Amino acid sequence: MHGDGAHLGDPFKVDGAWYRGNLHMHSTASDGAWPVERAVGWYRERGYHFIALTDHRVVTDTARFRTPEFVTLAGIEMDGFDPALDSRYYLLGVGMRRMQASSTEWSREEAGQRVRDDGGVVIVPHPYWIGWNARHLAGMAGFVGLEVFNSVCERTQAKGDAGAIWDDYLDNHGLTWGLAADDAHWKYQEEGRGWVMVRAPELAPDRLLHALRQGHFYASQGPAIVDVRISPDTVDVACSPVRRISVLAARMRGRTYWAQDGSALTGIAHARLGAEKYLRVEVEDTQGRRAWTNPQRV
Amino acid sequence: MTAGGHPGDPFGIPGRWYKGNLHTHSTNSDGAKSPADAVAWYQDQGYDFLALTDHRVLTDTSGFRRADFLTIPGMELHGPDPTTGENYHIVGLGITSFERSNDAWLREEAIARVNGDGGIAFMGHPYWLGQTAAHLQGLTGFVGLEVFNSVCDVHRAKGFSNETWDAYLLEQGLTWGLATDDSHWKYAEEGRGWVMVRASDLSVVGVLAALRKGHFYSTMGPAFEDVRFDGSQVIVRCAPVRRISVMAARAKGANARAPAGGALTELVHPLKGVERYVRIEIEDHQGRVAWTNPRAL
Repeated sequence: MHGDGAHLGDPFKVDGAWYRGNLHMHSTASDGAWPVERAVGWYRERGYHFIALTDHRVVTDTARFRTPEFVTLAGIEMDGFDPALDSRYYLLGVGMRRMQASSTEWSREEAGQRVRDDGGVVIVPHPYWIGWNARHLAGMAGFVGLEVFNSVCERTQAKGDAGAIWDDYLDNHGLTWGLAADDAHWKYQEEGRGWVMVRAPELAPDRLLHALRQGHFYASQGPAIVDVRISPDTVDVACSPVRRISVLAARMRGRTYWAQDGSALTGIAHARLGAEKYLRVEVEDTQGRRAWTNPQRV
Repeated sequence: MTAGGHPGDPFGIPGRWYKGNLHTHSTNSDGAKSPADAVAWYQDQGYDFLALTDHRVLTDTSGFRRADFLTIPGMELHGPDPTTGENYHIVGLGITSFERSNDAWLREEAIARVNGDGGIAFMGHPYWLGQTAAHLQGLTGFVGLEVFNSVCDVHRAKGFSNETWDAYLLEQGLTWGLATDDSHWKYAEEGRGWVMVRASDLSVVGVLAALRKGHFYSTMGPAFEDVRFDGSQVIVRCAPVRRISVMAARAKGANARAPAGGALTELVHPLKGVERYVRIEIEDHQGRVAWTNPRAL
């Protein structure tokens, strides 16, 4: 369920500021190793602007940690049996107003509907780790995006990167956004390795949720993406110094640009190949850390 | 104990390791080097064998063979794939009875023709093609897919097809994973992905038989020394790397990481009996990956 406003998937045309946040984390209220204060405090102390604490099956109250510079959103990680998958589904809900807990009796459709009806957004977590492919997701309506990177799944299973699943969905099923998240459990040094940079007019829950629906954000492990402009003929990218800038499109209709020996790339002007269906940009710095823009229909 | 000769398990088999690239182009199709220069490059780099796989045409490379360097006849076949709407890209090795492929052949016929010659077929660069496990459903007769294709990585950031491979292993069945250069000699893609085949001698028949049985591993650099299944655990020994990953169905695997500043050369991982399949990935400090073939459990 995406917004239908201006600049879908394009935060670079939105007036406002960048806000850094992590939308997937746990505490001792479920299977995280740190209590709520320490978990939330870790992000606040590191200059994150917002978080959602998404404990399993329960919404943990984080209102007391809010400051003018730090927003907490209500969050939950729901799960239950998914017949289409013949296994367990997981869905994140963020920004609900009243929900306190989820039930494993809920189908994935009901779980998603309850979050949306309560003012929240639904995110598909770690699809590679779950064994979800694009077809499994195609039958499910109303999620704003999927985790293209999940830090704890990378750390514990080498299944954190879901770029190919995302591209399959974009190629064959429709538009959806890509998020990076820590899924912090405070056990595997997964914290601080993936976040979203949201573009919004101000740091407020409703503004952040609107931006998540509209795709007004990019995902990152480190690099900053400064600007992406898509014209009928070109894709112009500006970013922090990186070793690779890739324009991703359906199938073989994108292209990668590499920094030349000893230098770094901070931008490209890519001549479009046409028939791309969608365009998204990935960059990778010299430490192997990446960032992903959201796709735009072309 | 390793059951020598188990499908997908080259470790513990008598013989030696042979290094080869199985996906290569020349000026006979859209590559920038002549066949002689392409072959010479791999000879100079110490490869043991090479398949030139020009698009739709068999290139005679028998004149480049030496006692210590084998060439395998090959071709990249194309035709309509109704499941993706794109042309398929199937690499055929060991072809003897036809010099050109026919773009009217469907995937099934292309594979059958290659197999009819005693050859093997594998799927080129599925991620780059937009080919998923679903698109391969029901298709038989191919030995594997390219888990790594260098030119698709270098040029399109779509070289790694591990997500497709794991989906196939989860949903469809066993198939092997190959790393290749797909050299076109235009993007510095050469020498970045190859297979290490375990065979008793360096012959076309021997290499193709090993590829068919999964008696090889794929790598961008790091070497496996041994991967042993003893029923209750898997034991991995390898060159120094920064991670050793046990890849299994869904979240049934594990990932061991080297401590800061250190390296791993061994992993002993207990099996729980729920993995369905296990394959091993290792990654060195330069980000170069190697992949064993999956074992059904």
